[in-house]
Amino acid sequence: LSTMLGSVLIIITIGVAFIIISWFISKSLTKADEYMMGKGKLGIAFGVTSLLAFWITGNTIMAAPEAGFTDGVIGALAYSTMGGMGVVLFGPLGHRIHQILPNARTVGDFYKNRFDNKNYYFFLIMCIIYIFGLLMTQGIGGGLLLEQVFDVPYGLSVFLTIAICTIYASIGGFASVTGIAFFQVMLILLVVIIVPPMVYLTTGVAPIYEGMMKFTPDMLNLLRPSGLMLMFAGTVVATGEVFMDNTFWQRAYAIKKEKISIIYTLAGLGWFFVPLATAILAFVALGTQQEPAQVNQVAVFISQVYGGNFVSWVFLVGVWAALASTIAAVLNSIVTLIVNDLYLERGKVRSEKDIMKMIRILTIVVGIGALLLSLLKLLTMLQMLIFLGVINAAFIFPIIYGLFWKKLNINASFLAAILAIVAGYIVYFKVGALQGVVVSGWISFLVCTIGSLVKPESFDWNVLEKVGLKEE
Amino acid sequence: MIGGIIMDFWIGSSIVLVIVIIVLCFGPLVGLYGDYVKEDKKGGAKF
Repeated sequence: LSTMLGSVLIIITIGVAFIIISWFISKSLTKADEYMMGKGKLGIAFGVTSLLAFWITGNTIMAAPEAGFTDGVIGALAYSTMGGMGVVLFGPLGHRIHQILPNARTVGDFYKNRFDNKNYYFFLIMCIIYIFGLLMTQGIGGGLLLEQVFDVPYGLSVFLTIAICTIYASIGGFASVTGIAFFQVMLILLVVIIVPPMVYLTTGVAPIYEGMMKFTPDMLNLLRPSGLMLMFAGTVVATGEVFMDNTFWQRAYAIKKEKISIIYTLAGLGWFFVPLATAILAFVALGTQQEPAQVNQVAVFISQVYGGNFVSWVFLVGVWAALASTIAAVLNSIVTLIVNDLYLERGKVRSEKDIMKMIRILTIVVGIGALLLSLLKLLTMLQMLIFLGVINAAFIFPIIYGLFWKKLNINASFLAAILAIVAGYIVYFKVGALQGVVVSGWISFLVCTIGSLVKPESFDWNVLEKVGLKEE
Repeated sequence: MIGGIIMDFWIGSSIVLVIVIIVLCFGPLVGLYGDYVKEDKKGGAKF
């Protein structure tokens, strides 16, 4: 009971702090644009931390050690590579987005004006499905973490996590989400900087290596097939997530143009070391032949064994901060997408007050939706991410070509996305999950490329320049 | 054995797919799409 009460109190304390900071930030916001896109442009510090805060999710800290435990060294490297690579690859896209769409707000602005209606609405539907799925993974992650490790009932855990995020995201919008992200990254780094060194100072590095050589030598094999598959197919999943996710597009617009490449590269490289740091805790379990009750708890389990209660509290704070930052960023991102692409596009002139009211109401509605879906506990976090990866992979090539290649045939891109998703899910259920992602990516690439070479179009980039400019 | 070959096929195709994505993302740096824009002094695009 004391563990449960302690955990709930820690979360409520941090949550209330986030809500108070959000309220302070919200006092300076007067326009809907500031609420959706923030005030001014983000520099390197806030740019990198807001990307890291969103992209370091509960998965990064909980599932990376799981990959290290099941696939050894290559599993840990695979997990780190997949997410880091996706962010680095978005760098050139972000630069291009600033060039051709200097005034836009969302990924929907790009899709609507670069493609036709059928492409746009299909993308929008898939994007909303993906974002709700992502929200679910974080809600489920928060619930499972608190339930399995800290004895808090699942329903209460999910409620606390999503309710706190919904409240602070609705109060201060994008400005508070990115402002609080700075503190959240600091909390997350507590786990990364304190826990692994503490554990390894106790166990020693050589005994762990020797233990792995003795008990699980295959886990030191860098060519382990399942690890390699995770590394490359996982990179396709993560790249698709990054390219499709409005959260990254929002930050691309909000970051100073000349800093975009460096910010995305730094965020990608910085991200690489976070899952790697937590994943090496799994090697301690392998080298000492200790097994947790559930494999996704391996990092917390080892931390408790070697660091005691203090370290497990540190873990709780870091993982919960990671979950909260992602949930808040996604809530803000999906609401911005809905308001910008559906609410404001219906031709009626809206006052700033009406728009801000609508954003706040929608944030609460989406938050309640995410809460109800998370309570269902349909899939585990990693399963859900790979399931959604089939959709993500299908849109990688329409987005790259749409940004860079004027010859892209928009009918081919529509067909590519549909065929890729259908074939991807057939292979997902008949052959394997990661295989479904690879098939989706290949079909998307081949149909887009061949279709555009056979029947090339000639898109006028100037069409995009005025997108997002208000008609005064 | 057959399982190994199928696994290798999937690994190989996922590696090539990642390489394709990297080439297409960084391709503009070497003029992959031909019409890649040059920036004017203000940082805007010239088409």
